[in-house]
Amino acid sequence: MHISDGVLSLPVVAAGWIITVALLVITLRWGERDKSIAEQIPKLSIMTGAFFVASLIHVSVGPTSVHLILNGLLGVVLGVLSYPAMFIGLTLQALLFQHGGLTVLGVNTMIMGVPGLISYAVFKTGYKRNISLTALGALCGALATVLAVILLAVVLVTTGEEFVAVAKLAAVAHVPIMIVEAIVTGFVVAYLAKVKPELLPVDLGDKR
Amino acid sequence: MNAKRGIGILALLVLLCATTMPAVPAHRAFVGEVVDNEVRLKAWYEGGDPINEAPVKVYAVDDGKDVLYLEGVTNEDGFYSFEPEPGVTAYNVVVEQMGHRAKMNIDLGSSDQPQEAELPLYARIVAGFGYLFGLAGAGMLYASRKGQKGS
Repeated sequence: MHISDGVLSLPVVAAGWIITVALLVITLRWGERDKSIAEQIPKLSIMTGAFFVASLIHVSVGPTSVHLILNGLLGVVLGVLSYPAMFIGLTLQALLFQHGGLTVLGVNTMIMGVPGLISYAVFKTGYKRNISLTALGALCGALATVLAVILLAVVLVTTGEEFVAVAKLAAVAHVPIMIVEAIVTGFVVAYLAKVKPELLPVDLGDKR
Repeated sequence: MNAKRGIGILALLVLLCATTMPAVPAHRAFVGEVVDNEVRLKAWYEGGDPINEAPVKVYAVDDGKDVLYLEGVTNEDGFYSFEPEPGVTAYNVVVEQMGHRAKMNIDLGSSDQPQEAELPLYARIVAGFGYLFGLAGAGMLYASRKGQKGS
């Protein structure tokens, strides 16, 4: 899922940075408004740690190899702050694992972070409609993977690859990842809802 | 107390993920070469999966400038062979697949290829967590200073 240095053209890299910096500012402000970020630091660091090592868990599928992303899980548990968390996680991955690269951090954060934010929105909306939390978690885990694949294909189109071909290839390769992410996210959400509902971004209140 | 318990649970989950993790890392892309009377290349991902049926570009290095010499596709085991151009000893090879890119410089003139020294994977994982703890600590320090000033 990570795009390497030097694959993309300069305007795409620049656009990625602009989007990511803007979203970092917005999500950090937003996160501070709901609840002090300082209080969430332990939760943030642990989830970032999980994201950081998740990309080492890989599955070889057909012509390529794919790895866990956990962007849906981060979106659901951290809310808007998942974006800065993924930015930090991706920076560490680029520096220490050579996954992706430093110049394309903006683009890579966008590819994985935006689906995380969308999963968070879906999670909140679904919760208001009384959908089971476990099912919602699973849905968000799978959805974030699908969206990341679509964004990846969109970005790669700018390198001259054909959208439908890349999207198909990437989507097929990510089917196992989608399933694993759905299971992991569903399980974690169900577990947190039971044991520690305050960690979820929705107010379970009287529904426990 | 509640917060502590929650953190404990999250830490446990992360630990679970980490211990059930297969020891094979993924997704760094490599390309390496074997010289015979032709140059044979192999491209693979960290963990050993070949980068198969991926576009390859071979650049001849002429006066420090890259000139596109050949284009091709790796076979299903990630191999690609080409015959060097007479008189040209330095080549740059780039293999790309779905946004991953592996690069290598080949110098047919010298026999020993420099190998990049690298930390073992576990050390890099530990280093990553070290940075994270450092960041978290710095964030908390900043927050507590701010809190003291406010009160």
